[in-house]
Amino acid sequence: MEPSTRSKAIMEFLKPRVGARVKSWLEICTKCGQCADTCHFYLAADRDPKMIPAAKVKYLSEIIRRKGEVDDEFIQKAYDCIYHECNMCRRCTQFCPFGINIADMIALTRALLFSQGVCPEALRSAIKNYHETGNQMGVSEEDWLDTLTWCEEEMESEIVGLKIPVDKVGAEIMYTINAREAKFYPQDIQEVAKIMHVAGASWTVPSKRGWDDTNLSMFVGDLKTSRTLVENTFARATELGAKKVAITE
Amino acid sequence: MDVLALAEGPLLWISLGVFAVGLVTRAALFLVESREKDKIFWQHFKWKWVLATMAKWLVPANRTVAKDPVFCALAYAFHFCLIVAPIWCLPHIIYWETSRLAWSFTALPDGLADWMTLAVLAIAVYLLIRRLSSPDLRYLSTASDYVLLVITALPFLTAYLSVHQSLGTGNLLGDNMQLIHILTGELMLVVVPFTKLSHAVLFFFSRAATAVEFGRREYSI
Amino acid sequence: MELFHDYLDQGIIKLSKKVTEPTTLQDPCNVVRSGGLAAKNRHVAEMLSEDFRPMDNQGNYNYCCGGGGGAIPMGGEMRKQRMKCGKIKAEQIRATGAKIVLVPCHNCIDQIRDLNKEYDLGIKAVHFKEIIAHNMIVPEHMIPKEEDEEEKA
Repeated sequence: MEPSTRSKAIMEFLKPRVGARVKSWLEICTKCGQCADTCHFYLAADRDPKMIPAAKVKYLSEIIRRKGEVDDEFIQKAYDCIYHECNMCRRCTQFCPFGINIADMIALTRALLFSQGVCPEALRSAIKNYHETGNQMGVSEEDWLDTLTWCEEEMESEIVGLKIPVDKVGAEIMYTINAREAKFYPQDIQEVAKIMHVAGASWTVPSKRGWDDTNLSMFVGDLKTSRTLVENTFARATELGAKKVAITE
Repeated sequence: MDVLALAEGPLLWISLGVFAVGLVTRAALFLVESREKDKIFWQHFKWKWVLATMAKWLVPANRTVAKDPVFCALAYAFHFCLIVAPIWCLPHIIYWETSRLAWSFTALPDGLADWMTLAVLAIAVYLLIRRLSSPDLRYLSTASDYVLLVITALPFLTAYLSVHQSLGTGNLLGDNMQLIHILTGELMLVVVPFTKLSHAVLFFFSRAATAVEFGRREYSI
Repeated sequence: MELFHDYLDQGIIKLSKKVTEPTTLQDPCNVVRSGGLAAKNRHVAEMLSEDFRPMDNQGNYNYCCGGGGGAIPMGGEMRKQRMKCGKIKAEQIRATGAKIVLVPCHNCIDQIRDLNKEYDLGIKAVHFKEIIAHNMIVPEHMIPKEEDEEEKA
């Protein structure tokens, strides 16, 4: 892509998203340095100034200042910073005298890069799985139901009458999991089933899209996918008439 | 019209106008733009969170104070003196009394105003040394961070020199200190709305925005 | 997590025993800083443990484990940085002297288990549900009779 086309696309992306808050934040930071030692990246890197939260938004302000005219090398540098040097935990914001939300601006930069086709490969493939199967691990509906069935069978020997109710209309709680549980940690599902059963809870698990409560697309700023995932879960809850959605821990 | 009259008259009114109109405009722009682009802020807006955050940060009642008490004590003192001294010092009040507005209000005792001015200067020096000596702050700082610190301190330095005639008379600086004081003060007023010093008003909006953001997750920041 | 809290708090689930080894607790960002559940999180940990030892900054001001913001699902490309920045969490855990770290988050638990190996913490990271499922009182009628044979090891 020609740089000028890219810069146009970048600015078009940013225009509706750089609002009053982001603009103010980029301007009023007095570089007081109070955020530095609130950051675990900074502390773990022997107080490397590069790791100061306030320094990590320089890519965003630089992109805005240059009106989107940035080269691949710059994008790569920004990528390394916003993906490898920040967990978006917002601890720095808690200590900032102005309450500057660094994580918000990191998220915006990630979304900007995503709009230009740049994002971590592992997250890209998770997003592909979300689109194809509705969950991050690409578990098919058949495998999902299968997993639930054998989880239930195994547990029946331990607890009398234990059931994992699938798609039970009118249950109070709809329970959703992290799709990794279905693939790697099925005992997690069993433990919850046991607790729910002993507690006498009225609960159910949805069979269709929406049972995976993770939302990895959020981390790259793919808000469209993010939204679909949340909508899936809520659509299931509405169909089943559940009053609450419980998510795994 | 001599330069002093110009500085005391039209220039002062212009700079006060730029300062006031500028800050009001910044506030208005924030409100207008946020209505359009920061909808989430308005959807979740609750006075409860906003008032709570102001109560914690307008006075030193927050976690950052516990983390770095020395810096915070000085920073709060700096802002307090910076705002109070110029508004309630006697020479400024005399100016208002003799102006067309004929405003009059009680002044700070001279000695106190003096000490506050010196406090602003001493803390400004501390902030400068801090910025220069810390590798973190050197890394973060740009030229404007240094320039704005000097611009902020200058009116206070010249105020002290002017009131006490510390440089004597019969030399160019000493004879014109009042003029220099007025001009540097005007310079500071003018740059506030256009630089990071706009935190004079944007502080409130930024804190409110973040307080609402954390508040919608049920806790006060 | 909130549900477990209410079950334990209201006595819907009763425990037959508490964890005797010293425990500490992670405050996952999405549960605590972004979920507003700091107090309940800690309360669950206290209800489950005999010897609960809070970390420095326990609660809303806790440090991220280093696995947040997509760092865990990013996989290999982030591993090195993830282990490095997790040093702070590892030190926090070590300072408590806890042997069990309660971690109500799938993301954090993967990170803390990795940190355990990397920094030789000698701890076990577990979910609340694991402890609850093991230590709760199962009503008599739900316990299988002898005829179930030796299916359970």
